[in-house]
Amino acid sequence: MNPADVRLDPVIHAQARLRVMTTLAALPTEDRIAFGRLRELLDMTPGNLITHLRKLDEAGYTDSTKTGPGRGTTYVYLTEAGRTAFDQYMRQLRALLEPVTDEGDS
Amino acid sequence: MSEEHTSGTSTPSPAEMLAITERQQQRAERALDINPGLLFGVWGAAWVLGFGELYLTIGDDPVLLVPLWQALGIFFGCLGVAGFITVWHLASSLRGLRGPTQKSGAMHGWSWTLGFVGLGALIAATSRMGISDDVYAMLWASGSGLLVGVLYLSGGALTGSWTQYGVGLWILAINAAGAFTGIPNHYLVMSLAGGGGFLVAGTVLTLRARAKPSPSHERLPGEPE
Repeated sequence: MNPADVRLDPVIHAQARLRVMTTLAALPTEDRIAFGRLRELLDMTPGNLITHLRKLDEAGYTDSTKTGPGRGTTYVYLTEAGRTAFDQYMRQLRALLEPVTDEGDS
Repeated sequence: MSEEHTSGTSTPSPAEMLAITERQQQRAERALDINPGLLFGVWGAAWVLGFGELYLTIGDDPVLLVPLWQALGIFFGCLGVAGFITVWHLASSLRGLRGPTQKSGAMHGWSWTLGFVGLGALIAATSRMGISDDVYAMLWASGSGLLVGVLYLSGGALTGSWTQYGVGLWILAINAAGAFTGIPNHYLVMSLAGGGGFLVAGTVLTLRARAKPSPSHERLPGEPE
């Protein structure tokens, strides 16, 4: 089958955002990670990560909230919708690569 | 648009995307997950060395002649090193994380501390009634074994981990049996069976983690190019 037939979620289907989603999905549900630690795990520049998080926040997949007094720390977590979207994306991706679906390869 | 150039020239193929996510998942898990194999190994070594050293230096006819304060210093030194490594490992894994997991982890950590403070108070109160050094030593050794066993039982029960639960059962059993051998023989039981048990658990968990299939390689040949 042709990969173009399946529409992969465009919000997730970009290398950087897929890596962000993967990292957040590795945390147990409802756990949050500080922006700085997330950045370390991804080796991304702050500006770059902020850009991608904004996109994911807008889609409702992640939630970035500032906590604490003063400048505070931003904690990020994967929303329920985000986890669902990520699981579906991974299923679709695996399905695209699964050779088991008949022999319609040619 | 500024973000797209950082994510590669064009969107990679599905096979590449899968490899990317699997690599990142491994990296995140390695950095975030607590490594129980390491902790069991560290505490196993501390018990084998610490209790083993007590067995060799304490009693009526010790194998090694060492002043009591030195023997206890070495013992608590072993436990201190293990405690330091534990705190360091937990702190670096959990750095920057907030949420239910961290909260229950902190509560569990405090139950160890509070348990030992409670045990210390109980023994201090008992010793005011006039007890011999051997009784005092037995209360500390077997009381600690009881506490450690029960805490592993509850930790295993709450996380659904049979390994942790099994370690709890094992420590309770060898502690109860070992106590009947008296001081200093109980130290030998704690060293070999207790510390040895931790080392076995640590080895099992480490091997199991290694045997976990490393992803990302098998699927690549299916790519449509």
